[in-house]
Amino acid sequence: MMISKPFYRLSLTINKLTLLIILAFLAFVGFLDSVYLTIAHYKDLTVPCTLAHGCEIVLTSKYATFLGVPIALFGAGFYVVCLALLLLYFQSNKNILPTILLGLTTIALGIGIYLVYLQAAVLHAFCQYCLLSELIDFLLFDCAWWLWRRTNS
Amino acid sequence: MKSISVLINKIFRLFGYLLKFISNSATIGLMDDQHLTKDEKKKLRQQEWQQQLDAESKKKLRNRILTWGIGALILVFAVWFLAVVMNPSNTPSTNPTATIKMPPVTSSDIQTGNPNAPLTLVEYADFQCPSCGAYYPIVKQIQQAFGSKLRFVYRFFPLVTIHQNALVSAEAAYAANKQGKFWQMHDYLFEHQQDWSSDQNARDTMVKYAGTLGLNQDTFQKDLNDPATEKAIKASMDSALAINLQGTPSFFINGTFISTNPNGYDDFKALLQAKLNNQ
Repeated sequence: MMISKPFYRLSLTINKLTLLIILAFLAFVGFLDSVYLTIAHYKDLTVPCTLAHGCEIVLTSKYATFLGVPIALFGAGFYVVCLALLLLYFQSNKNILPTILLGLTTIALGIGIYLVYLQAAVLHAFCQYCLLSELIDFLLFDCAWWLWRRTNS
Repeated sequence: MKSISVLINKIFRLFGYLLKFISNSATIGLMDDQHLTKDEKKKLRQQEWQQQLDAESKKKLRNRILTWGIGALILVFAVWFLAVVMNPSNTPSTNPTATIKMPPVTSSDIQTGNPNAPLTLVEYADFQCPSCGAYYPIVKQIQQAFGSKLRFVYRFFPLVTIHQNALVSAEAAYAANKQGKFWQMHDYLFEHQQDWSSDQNARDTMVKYAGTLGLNQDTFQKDLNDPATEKAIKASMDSALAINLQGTPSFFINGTFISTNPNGYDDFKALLQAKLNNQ
């Protein structure tokens, strides 16, 4: 019993690092995805849509921009903030940071669910890049929750 | 004289300071731990410790700044890379004219003019695109000028990512074609481009236009909302994307892609005349 505690702690720290790496990877992929869509928006490019013919409908709909700014740009900003929080946490180990991250990813998940709803119920069209971003939001939330529970237990 | 004596005095004093400084540092250097009191030793150790700590924290800070710098650099590089890769002018082919091959004109294409004309002009256009609207009267003039020597083919290439009503306008023209009035709708859409381009209810507006042009509105509405219509437009769009067309309007004369659109009517006419003369 005496020896089990250090082992337990060791496995915990390794998992936390892995979790941080997973989170950073997800946020980075999300960042690339949103930057791609943002550039496509500002350069007036047609994005190749291999899944279905929905990309154009989704990306040109009135829901694709908010206050004249493409929501993909907001997404890119969100992912950058996530990455910054993760790096800050990696360096400082401050327990407040996973809480902030969890709060942010919860908001993102809410927005993501709303966007999936718009695609499914209002536009009747899907865009694979948007779905990828929404999937990442979901996974980020999962991992952030996991991290938060670990730091606060 | 007085000033010289002051100067000498100063020099001596400076020399004295120097001597004092050297002797002081020498004694510090010679000082051994053994000659120090317990308190002094403690103080010295603390000092060393503090110095080490300072160096360590400095190193830590440097590492931290480096990590953030590298992180920011990776993100900036990713954005830059995407921006460069996604540039339409950076497509691998340096000579797009040679690579763009148009699918041959068939009887199922929407066309006007003499089907056996020596010249065939194909236009890939989007009813909502302003430059297509600008070329519309030029093409009209060209058709009049060449008469039976020219066949004009229209192909749908709605730029749906940038024009909200590109698709519905193309569908309207397609539906009008079913009642044999494609060209009337084509002309009407280009002539009233400003009116419907930012229309939020373009679908209803199109039905209104159909009524104006004397089409059967019920049939038109049915055709307009038929999924097969959208499918046909999308197929036309996909075929335009498949041959790497980058924008609208894109013109082909007898199957040859015009990489730079002619500058005005005279330019366009000369281009066609040259083709005609070469035959």
